[in-house]
This record gives sequence, C-alpha cells and structure tokens, in this order.
Amino acid sequence: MTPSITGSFTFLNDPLSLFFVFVILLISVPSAIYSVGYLKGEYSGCKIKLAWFLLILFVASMLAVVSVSNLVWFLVFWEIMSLVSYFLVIFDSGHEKSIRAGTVYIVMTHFGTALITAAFLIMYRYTHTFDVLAVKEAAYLIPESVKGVVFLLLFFGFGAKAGIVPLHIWLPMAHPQAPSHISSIMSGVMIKVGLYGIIRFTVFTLGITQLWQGRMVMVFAAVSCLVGVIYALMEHDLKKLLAFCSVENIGIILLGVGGSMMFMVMNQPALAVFSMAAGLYHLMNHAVFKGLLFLGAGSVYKATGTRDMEKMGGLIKLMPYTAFAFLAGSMAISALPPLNGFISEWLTFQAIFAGALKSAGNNIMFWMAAAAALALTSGLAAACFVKAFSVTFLAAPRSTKASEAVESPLSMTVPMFFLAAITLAFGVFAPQILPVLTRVAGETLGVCTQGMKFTALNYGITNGLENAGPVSGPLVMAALVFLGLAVFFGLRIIYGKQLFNVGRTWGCGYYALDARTEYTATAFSKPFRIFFSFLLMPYRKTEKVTHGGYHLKYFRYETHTTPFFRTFFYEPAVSASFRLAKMVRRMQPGSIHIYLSYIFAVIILLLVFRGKF
Amino acid sequence: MSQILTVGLLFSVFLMAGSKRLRALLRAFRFQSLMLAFLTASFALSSGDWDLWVITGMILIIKVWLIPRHLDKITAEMSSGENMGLVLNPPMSVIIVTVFGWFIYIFSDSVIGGMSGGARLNFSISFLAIFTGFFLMVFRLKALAQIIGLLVMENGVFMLASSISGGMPFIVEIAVFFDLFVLVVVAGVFVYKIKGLFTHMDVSRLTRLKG
Amino acid sequence: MLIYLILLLNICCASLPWFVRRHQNMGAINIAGHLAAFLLVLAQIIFFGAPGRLDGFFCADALSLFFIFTIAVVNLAAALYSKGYIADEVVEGLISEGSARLYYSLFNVFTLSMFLVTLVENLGLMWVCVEMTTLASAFLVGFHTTKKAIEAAWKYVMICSVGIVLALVGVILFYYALNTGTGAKTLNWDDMLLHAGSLDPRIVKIAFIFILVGYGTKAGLAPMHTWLPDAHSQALTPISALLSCVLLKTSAYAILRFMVITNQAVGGSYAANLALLFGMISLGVSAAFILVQKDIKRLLAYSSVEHIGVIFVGIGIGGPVGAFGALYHVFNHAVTKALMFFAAGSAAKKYGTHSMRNIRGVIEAMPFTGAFLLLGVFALGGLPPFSIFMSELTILSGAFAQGRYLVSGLFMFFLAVIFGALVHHFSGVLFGEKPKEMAAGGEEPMGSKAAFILLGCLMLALGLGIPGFMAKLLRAAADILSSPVGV
Repeated sequence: MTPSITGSFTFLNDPLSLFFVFVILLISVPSAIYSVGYLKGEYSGCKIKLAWFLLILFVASMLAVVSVSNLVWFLVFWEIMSLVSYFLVIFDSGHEKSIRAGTVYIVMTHFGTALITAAFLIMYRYTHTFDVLAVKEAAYLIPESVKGVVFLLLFFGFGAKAGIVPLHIWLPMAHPQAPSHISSIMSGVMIKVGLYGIIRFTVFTLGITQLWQGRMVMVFAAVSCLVGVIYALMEHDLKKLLAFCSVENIGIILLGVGGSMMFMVMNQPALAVFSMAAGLYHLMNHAVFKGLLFLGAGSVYKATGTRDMEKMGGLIKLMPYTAFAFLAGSMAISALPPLNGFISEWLTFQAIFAGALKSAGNNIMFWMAAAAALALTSGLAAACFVKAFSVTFLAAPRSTKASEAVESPLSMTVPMFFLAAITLAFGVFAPQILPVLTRVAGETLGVCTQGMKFTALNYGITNGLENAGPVSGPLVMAALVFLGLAVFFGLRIIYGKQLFNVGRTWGCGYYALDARTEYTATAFSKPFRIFFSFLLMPYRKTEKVTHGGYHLKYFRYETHTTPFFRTFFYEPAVSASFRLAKMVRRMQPGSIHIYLSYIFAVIILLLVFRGKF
Repeated sequence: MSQILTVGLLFSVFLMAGSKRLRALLRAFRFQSLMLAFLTASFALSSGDWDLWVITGMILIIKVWLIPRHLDKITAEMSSGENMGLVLNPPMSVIIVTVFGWFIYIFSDSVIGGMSGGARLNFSISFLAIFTGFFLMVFRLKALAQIIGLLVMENGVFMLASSISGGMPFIVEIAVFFDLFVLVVVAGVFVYKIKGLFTHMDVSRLTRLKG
Repeated sequence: MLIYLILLLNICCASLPWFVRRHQNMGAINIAGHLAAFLLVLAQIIFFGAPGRLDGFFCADALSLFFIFTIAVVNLAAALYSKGYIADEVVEGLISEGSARLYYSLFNVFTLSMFLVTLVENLGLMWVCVEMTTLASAFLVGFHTTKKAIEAAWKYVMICSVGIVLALVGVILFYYALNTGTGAKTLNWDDMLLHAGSLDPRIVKIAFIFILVGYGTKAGLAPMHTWLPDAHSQALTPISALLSCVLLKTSAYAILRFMVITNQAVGGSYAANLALLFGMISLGVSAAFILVQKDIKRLLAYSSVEHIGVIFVGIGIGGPVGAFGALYHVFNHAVTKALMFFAAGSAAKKYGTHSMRNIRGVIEAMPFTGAFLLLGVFALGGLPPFSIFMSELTILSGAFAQGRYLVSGLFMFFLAVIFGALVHHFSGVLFGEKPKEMAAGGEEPMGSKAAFILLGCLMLALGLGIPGFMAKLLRAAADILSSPVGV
C-alpha cells in the first residue's frame, strides 16, 4: 500500500477541529479587513493582489490542516501552509533581513515536518492506515516504547512550528518581518496550529499513558514562559517584543495541556478536562489579544515608519483609537480582570494548584514550581507591557516622524475595536464559554463530561475540588460599572463643570524638557537585565570620540544581550556543517587521475568486503 | 602453443608498465594486440568456428594496424614530444604491476574457484592487463597515454572474454570493435582540441573545474 | 510496431540537418519529430500495453516502456527549449550556423542511443548502446570550444569509458556464469532470467559488483560521480537537462536489469544492500557539496547525484513499495530537474555568468522564468503539492515499514539539509537585489515557454495523483523489479 492522496479526502467534524476553525476565522477575518487599509499606499496594485491571493491560500490551508482526517493530506496542507507563510514573510523582499528570516523559518519548519513525517510513518507501520480515526482505534498495536518515541517526534516536530523553546528562534525573526496583518495571523493562529498537532496526535490519537510525557511538556512549557518573557522585556522593537511574548504564551497554554496529560495518568479525568479547557481557553484568548496587539503595532508602524519604540512616544494624543485598542490588548495580556487573559490564566493556576493538592511528596514541589513559574511570568509580562504601552504611546514623541503620526483609517481601527470587544466579552461571559470548552476537552481526552460541573461562576470546579471562592463575574462587572458611573457623576456634581485644568506637565521644575529626558525602553528594562544577566549575558560597547584627545565630542553607548540559543546551539551547528562540507569538497580537486583512482579503490574495497553484504 | 602466447601477453603487460616514452608504449600495445590476434587464431583453429577467424581478422586490422597508426599520426603531429609524464618511474611501475599480478593470482582461486591451472593463468593475466590499463590512466599524465591505457583495458577485457567463456556472441564482438574504433576517433578529436586550447597535453593540469 | 516508428523518427531527425539549410526550420522539425514520438509512446502505453519481446531483438516490457516514456517526455521538452536556445546562441555568435545543424544531428543520435539502451534485449548490445550514449554526448558536452568545456568533455569521456569497461567485465562474468551453469550461450536478458536460479552465486556476486561500479559511474553514484558536475554544468542547457534527467536514468536501467538477475541467482538482499550503500553515500556526498556550492549549474548537477541516491535507496529498500517509489522518482526527478535546468540556464544566459553571487533578483528581472525557478526549487526540495514529495514519501514509508530507522533517519536528515541549502542559495538568487543594469523582461521564446508550462504542469499534476495508465505501467514495472516471472 503506497501512500497516495487520491481519494480519502474526508474531514473530521469533531469539537476540537471545529474549535480551531472558529479560532482561525475569528482572527483571520478582522486581519483581512485590516489589510485593506494597511496595504494601500505601501505596495503596488499587483503586489496587493498577490498579497490577497496568498492570504486566502494561507487561511484556507490552515483550515484544511485542522480539519482533514487523512495523515498524508495533513502533511500536504501542513507544508503548503508553511510554504505560503514563507512567501508572506519574505513579502518585503527588498530587505536582506526578510530573506534571511524567511530562510531560517522555512528550514526550521521543514526539519519539524521531517520529525512529524517520521512519526506518522512509524504509526503507519504498526496500524497500516493513514486515517486519523482508524489510527486511534488501532493505537493499541503500537508498542509502548515506540509510542514514547513517536510522542517525542511529534512534540518536537509540532513544537518547532509552535515556537517552544529551544525551537523558537525563527519566531522573533519571521513575525516582525511579515506584513502586520500576517504577523497577527501567524502569531495568533498559525503557531496554535502547531499546538493542534500536539493535541490531536498525542492526546487524541495515541493517548497519554506515561507520567514523564506530561512532565516533559510542563517543563518545556515553563522554560518557554520564562525565556519568552525575559527576552520580550529586553526588546525595543515593538513587533519583536510581541513575538517573544507569543513564545511565553505558548508556554502558558502548554502548562494547561501538560497538566491535563499528567492528570490523565494520575487518574483524575475531571481535572484533566479542566486543565485542557484552561489551555484551550488561553489559546483562544491569546489569539485574540495577540492578534489585536500585532494589528496595533502595524498601525503604529504605518504611521511612524518605524518599529523601534525608542523613536515613538506621545501617540496616544495623535492616534487615540489605536492607543485605546492597544491598551485593551495590553491589559488582556497582562491578565488584568475582567478581560479574557485574566480568566484563562486564573483557570490555569487553578488547575496547577489542584494538581498540587492531588499529589504527594516530591510531586507537590513539581506543581508548585510550575505555579511559581507562571506567577513570575505573569508579573514580568505585566512589566513588559507597561513598558510597551507607555514608551510607545505616552509622554512626548521622541522623533519627528512620531510627532507627525496620523490616526489610521477606519478599515484598520474597526477590526481592532472588534477584537478589543471580544477580549472583554470572553472575560465577562466566561461562565458561558467554559462549558463549551470543557466539552471540547472532554471529547478530545475521551472523557465523558456529562456528570461533571464546571462553573466559571465560582471560577472553580465543584467536582472534586473545594471551591476556590465564589465570585460572580457579571456581578463584578456590574459593580465596577456602577462604581465608575457613581464616581464620575459624583465628582461632576461636587465640582461643577470645571473638571479639567490644563497646565504644563510637571517635570521636576525644569521647563525646557524634551524627548531626550524621557524614560527609554532600554532604561526601563535595565533592572531585569541585571537580574537575569545569567541568561541574557549583556555586554556593552562604548565609543568615545574626542577633539584632539582632550575635549569630548561624543560618547556612544550600546548595550546588547547575547541571544542564548542562537549563540550556543544554532550558530555552532550551522558553522560546523559548513566546515564539514568544505572538508568534503576537497574530494573534488579537479584532477582526473584522482577521480579515476576513486573508481579503482571502490572496486577493490567491494571485492574484498563483498561477504559483508 | 597458447601457453607461449599467454606468456607473451604477460610480457607485453610488463613492457607497457616499464615504457618511458609514448612510442615505446604504442609499440608494446601493437605487440599485445598481435599476441591477442594469435591467441584468437589458435582458438579458431581448435574449435573450427569461422566466427573466430573473422574476429582474428578484425583484431589484426583494427587493433594492430588502424588504431596504432592513427595514434602514431596524432603523436607525430603533437609536438609535445615523446614524454608521457611519469608519476612513477618505470622500474617502480613494473614492481607495482608485478605485485598486483601476484595478488590477483592468489585471490583468483577464492574469487572464482574451481578453475583449471591454465584457465586460472589466463584469468589472472586478463585482470592484470585491465589493472595495467587502469595504472597507465592514473599514473601517466599525458592525454595520449590515457587513451592507450583505455585501449589496454579493453584488450584485457577481450582476453578475459576469450579465456573464460570462449568469447562472446558474435554480433556483440563486432559491435564492441566498432565501438572501440569510434571511441579512439572521438578521443583523438578531443586530443587535438586540448592541444589547440591548452597548448599542452598534460591532463593533470586540467583543473579549472573543481569543488 | 509503434516502437519501430519512434526509432525511425529519431534516425530521420538525425539525418535531416544535412538537408535542411536553416537551423530555425531544423529546430521546428525537431520539435515535431519528438512530439510525434511522445504521442506514439503515449498511444502504445494507453492502447496496446507492453508487448514484451519483439522479434527476439527488442524487449519492450513494462520496465522498458516506463523508461521510454520518461525519455520521450524529456526529449520533447528539450526539443522545445532547444529551438529558442540555439537560435539565441547563433544570434550571439557563440556557435556558427553549421554547428547549430550539427547540434540537431547529434541531439537525435543521442536520443536514439538512449532509446536503444532501453529497448535491446541483448545485454551485450545494451553495453554497446550505453557506450554510444557516451560518445554521442561527448561532443555535445564540449560543444563550446572553451577551456572549461573541453576539460569537462575529456573528463566525461575518460571516466565514463573506464566505468563502461568495468561494466563489460561484469557482463562477461555474467556470461561466464551462464556458460558454466547451464551451458547456454546467450546474452539475452529473458533467457538469462529463466536460468538465473542455476547461476553460481559466487561468480554472480563479483559480476554484479563490476556492473554496479561500472554502470554506476555513468549513473552518477558517488564516489564515481566525479565527472558529473563538470559535464552537466559545461554542456549546453538542453543537453544538461538530457544528461541529468535521462542519461543517468538509462544507466540506472541497465543496473536494474542486472539486479533482477542477481536477486534470483544470489537471493537474500545482496544487491539491495549494495544499492542502498551507494544510494546513501551519494546522498551524503551531494549534501555536502550542495551546501558550499557557488555555481548554479554545478549545484543542479549535484542535486542530480542526490536524486540518483534517492532512487537507489528506494531500490535498496526493495519490495513493491520501494521499487514503485524508486521508479516513480525516476519520472518525477526527470521532469523537475529538466525544468530547473531550463530556468537556471535561461537566467545564467541572461546574466552572463554561472556564479550565484552575481545572479540576483531573478524574480524581478525575469518574472516568468523566475516564477518557474521558484516553484522548481521547492519541488526539487521535496515539498508538496509537487511530485517529488510523493515519491520520496513512498520510499520513506517503505523504509519505515521495514523498520529501517537508521536508514530512514539519515535519508530524511540529508534531504532536510539539502532543502535548507537550496532555499539558502536560491532565495539569494531569486529575491536579492537586482543589478541596476539588468533590464526586466526580454523573456523566453514561445518554445521555451511551452517547455516550462509542460514540465510545470507535469510536476504539479503528478504530485496530486498518478493518472491511471501510468499507475498501471508503474506497478507492472515495479513487479518486474521485485518479483519477476520469467517471460
């Protein structure tokens, strides 16, 4: 039976696929509308048509990947998705950086695909079928040790696409270079398709039976969280910051998914469903607010011509709508209630604490470490976005381009408002959304969720866990709104119409303030740079130029962090390969006599060793 | 009778390895082809196959007369002189060929067992001829020496065919001869082109294409 | 039958240049001839199936027909491309009018000899035809009388002839085995296969080594491939395509014929293991060379070495799946590599250099060619939805099914490295900064465009699914390789 893709083009209609289709469309449609305003004026008419064609192909291939049921078709669409996104990353093909980013991206994703193909073919060897549901039925035919190997192949193969540390280096290179509406789809949706692969093929198809699997996932998740957010803090390229943040959030999602894997082995089906639902919730939420943030970054880029935060500032007065939407996104990603980020992180915390409660001895430490990592990450993420929002939008403009910025057209602001509204809706309506997700999780894990009750009303589980404090979401919302209105009208009544006094911003008594005295992004992140210097290995370059050796003309100061994984893993590997190749190249020196002697040597060797074959 | 011819062939192999100049090599080649012709004639006599007589005639015409004459002409026109460009000097070459001949003889039994003494000798000498041809191609630097090396290899193959399987089907033999002739013509044309472009015949200096 | 017509057509086209004065007309006649040949082959396959033995002289079973089909497709594409290419060369004064007509004549002698290799029954005559292909193409490689071309041609003739002589030793040893085994005095493949069981395995083992190394030199297996990068990069572009896409495959065909006999005589997986070893070595060596390559046509030549390695790995894996994958790959690589050579050759011609450092911004300077070059790069690297992905996946599934994890792992690793190298090199070529003096446009003549479109469609179509008649032919051919029944 040779693998072929004629026939057997069927779709899976289960909740997991439908969920992912929903998420894909939720982000892609606003991004597509956004691109109308974004691309206008930047590119020629021909190129815009090409951009639309690629966008539609991209979204279509992603939709196909998450819903097709034949493994060979899956690979085909998976590679098409990678190929089309490669073209979109190098869309600005004039830039050397884009091309380099594209090459790194597609090579890494290709290696990942190789691992996935190997896993699929091993599964095929034992189950003799390429249909997902049939493989699931026949999964018992695969020996346990082989299942472990397949799990690893799938985890790292899909992890390369998802951006798990240490396979994440393509993310901060590729996402910033792509046009912003594509960055939002890539960060919001495409890396989630990698997670779909992990969930579909390890949890759903193979089944999780070993504790080390869930543990490994959680360890990598925690590392991704921390590494992602630390590097995000150091960045002052707005889109690179957001890209690293995606790495962090993938880690958070995987904490939920990994936790669910561990719960399945610990024989806690209810908690497994809850944990998976938390992961899926965060997946959805991250798609929404990361998409929103990238669209915002794109608006800022289009308006100011730069992605460098150190050259922005004061945009809140010039681009109020964009700023408002970006603020909503920042609040969501920092997990501030009542927005959606808070809900999903809270649920993930709940799951982890539940895990600690259900474990004994050393295992408790493991769960607590995970909780600690998540907590640290949340704090750092908040700091990161305080920096991102305030340096970009607040204070005064740091460059002329920033001071000339104009608000974006409606086609760009409306999608952002839509997504901002969704962040609020997914936060407030959590009690309605959680049951849907638990159903999805239940179907995926093969657990019957009929008898279980999960209420986000309590923001906890009433089945098996002493409740974590009853808080009613809508009640909180109502209270906040009422309080806000009360304060507003109260102040108006007391102080009359004159509520605003316009005066100079207080600058410690100096009146000739300009942008150079403002807090820079680099300065804001300095304490973190010092604290995490074991990972970041910052170094500085200084240059002092003087008049004739005595009077200082100018002093240049640069500080850099060392990209850990690139410097210690990837670059040595790549240069070693090139060196090895150059050594092999010496085999072809141009002399026909040497070439002939190769033939002779081969014959002699084969004749001597022919018994070995 | 055929023993003497076999020894003669062996002798020709050593002659070639020990040749210092192109003319000597060519003469040794002629000698070898002549021995080959006689050998084939002796097979023809003993088996009475008229095919073999035709083949003897072809060897005489093509390998003893036409090809060496063609190569002589080219050598004369190439004013590169008689120098073959030796990497290994003649005595050394002869030693190497001898040693290898010994190895072939020893291993010929384990390689193809159950051969009679005479057949084994023939077999070994044919392979030695092939090896010598190879040797000439690798350790002689001039283009013409490479062509002759190729021809010596073909001689060895022919010897092999005659000795172990009584030659090949007739039509194959004819086609092989024709092929050989075309090969020499083509190679000759290229020798002229090399001389014209590079003004030297040293093939080891053709190293523009590398890597 | 129709087969004879094809041979006749080739002979006609070979001799017509003596009578036709203008090379443009000759180009058109060439295209017509090869189009007719292709249609005849198609008709033969679809309507008449494989006739098997023909008049005791030709052997046209499924394996032969499959290779003939591949040859016919690439011939047609090369003929389409040649017309415009040669016209350009004459206009630029690189070759003379007379040389152009000589080109067409040699072209057809070359294609004729390749058809003959796949058609003759007698293994000795097959040898003669393989040698003829070397001699016919020698002048085509050294067509431009430049130093590099002549050097390449000399190396090509010498190394391949040495290989061929070794292959002749192998043929003789097979003949000897047949003689001592059964007393039969024939070199016909069918008869040899019938008696394969009674051949002395010791002799056959040695004979096969000589065949594999000898014909393997012509097929481009490492480490005997050393003539390949020189010859394929210096030849005229349509000839490079013929060399890479078809000539290597016909030599592989010769090896396959002997392999079937060896499998019957020796049993076990002797021949398969040898094939696997050479396949993996070819993959590894070509990966290293592709990584650090600077010349665009040399890179494509090494890529041919890589794909021959893939084919031999497929043969080494064996069984119906491996054989099917290998043969499928023969066709897919032929189509894709021809497209790549044509596109890269056009770009090299326009930029006046082979060096990839100096060929940049092709997609801006030559949009039509550049688009095909782009698709070709990804097809060559083994990405869906193109055909090479499917054949490589087939071979891989065979390897995994046999539990050969080391082989599969290395296979995937080398392919991934080569993919990375291809993207790295060609992204610079396609998307870099276009040199300012280069005017955009000035694209291909009609014939070349037709060649591109034909090859591109084949490349894509076969990735999506194999047409019925072709699948049937492939399966029959794979059956001959994996479980033959003497005719």
